[in-house]
Amino acid sequence: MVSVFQVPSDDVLLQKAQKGDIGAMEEIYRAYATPVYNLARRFCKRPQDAEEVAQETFLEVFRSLGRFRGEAPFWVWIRRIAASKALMRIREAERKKEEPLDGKAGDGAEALAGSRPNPGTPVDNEKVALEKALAELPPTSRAVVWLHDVEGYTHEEIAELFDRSVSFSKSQLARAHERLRALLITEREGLACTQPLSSS
Amino acid sequence: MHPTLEQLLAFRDGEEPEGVRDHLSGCAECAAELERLHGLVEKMRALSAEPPPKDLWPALRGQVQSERIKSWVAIGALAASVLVAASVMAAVWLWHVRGSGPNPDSGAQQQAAQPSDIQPLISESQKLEGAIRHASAGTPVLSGKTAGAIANIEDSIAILDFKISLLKDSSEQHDQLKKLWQQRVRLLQALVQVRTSRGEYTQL
Repeated sequence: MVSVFQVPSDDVLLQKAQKGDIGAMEEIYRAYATPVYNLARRFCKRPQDAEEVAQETFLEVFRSLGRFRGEAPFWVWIRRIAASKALMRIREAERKKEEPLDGKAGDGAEALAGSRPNPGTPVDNEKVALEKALAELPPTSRAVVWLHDVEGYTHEEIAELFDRSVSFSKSQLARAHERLRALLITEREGLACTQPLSSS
Repeated sequence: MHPTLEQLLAFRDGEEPEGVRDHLSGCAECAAELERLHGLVEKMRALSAEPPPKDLWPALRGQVQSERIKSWVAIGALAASVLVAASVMAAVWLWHVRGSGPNPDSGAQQQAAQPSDIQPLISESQKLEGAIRHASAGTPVLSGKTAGAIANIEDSIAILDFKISLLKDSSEQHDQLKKLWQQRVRLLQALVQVRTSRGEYTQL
């Protein structure tokens, strides 16, 4: 499974960054900014939270570069930091009662929808419906389904990240899919009602 | 009985939950659901990835650089506090050993009593210190490397000052004292150079 984080790594660049070369750090940022931001965007309710998660992720990456030993690929290491920072953010939100972890996503769902079609470009209704359905999921379910189905995390890895059991990860995934199915059916039915009648 | 969604997902992901494969071969409904689950993964992966709405790099660069400066300052402060503690302990020890209060050769008296070949070095030191004070006034933020270099030189000067304070300008110690003052002048010259060239200027 190919992750969006899987960009070719450059050992020379990495060594330069480890020695404190600011230009090398900028190259690392440019290479990973989009995957890190998008992962954060799938976890966080508000775009500004996703930006902060991305910033915290890169700061942590640059602070810890000296400790990176290459036991796992560099992109896996960055992705792990990003996921952990994003998870901390949703836990923080739960503590502040902004968004329930296991309840309904609430009124932030609209703000969460990932891609915004540019005005003038044809709208892919299926994609829009999926974005909307994902945004409606509770944060934990959304994080689990994204990490597992899109980023290729195993249930063991998710369990470790969340500090929970493997069965927690499996049941969260099943719950997420159950809700996605229901939301997508509702969305499809809604769309069918608003489609103009065929002239034939 | 149909498999649960959790079992279907496990099957989709390559596991073999008991009885699922056999069930799928005879159940069109579950086979279609499995197909849908496969398709959903592809659709999620195809969702567009957006770059961050604003470039986060300038802010990140600023934070990385200010953290580096802070760490250098912390190291410098630690070194300085160790030196101060050592100086205090040495002064107390000397006071006890000599049994007669502060060192009579210290400060202005010491400077005034220096023979002619040390006095020019002291004057030169004072001149250079004035130049450093002038260069430091309104100095912009320095890079981590420059701040580190300055801290190192200042630490070395502090060590020399401590050694100078322990020596008496007697005939036995005169040459040693002169050497220390010469080293001090050289270090101050280096410090002036780093301060005035400002090393690697960092625009935060």
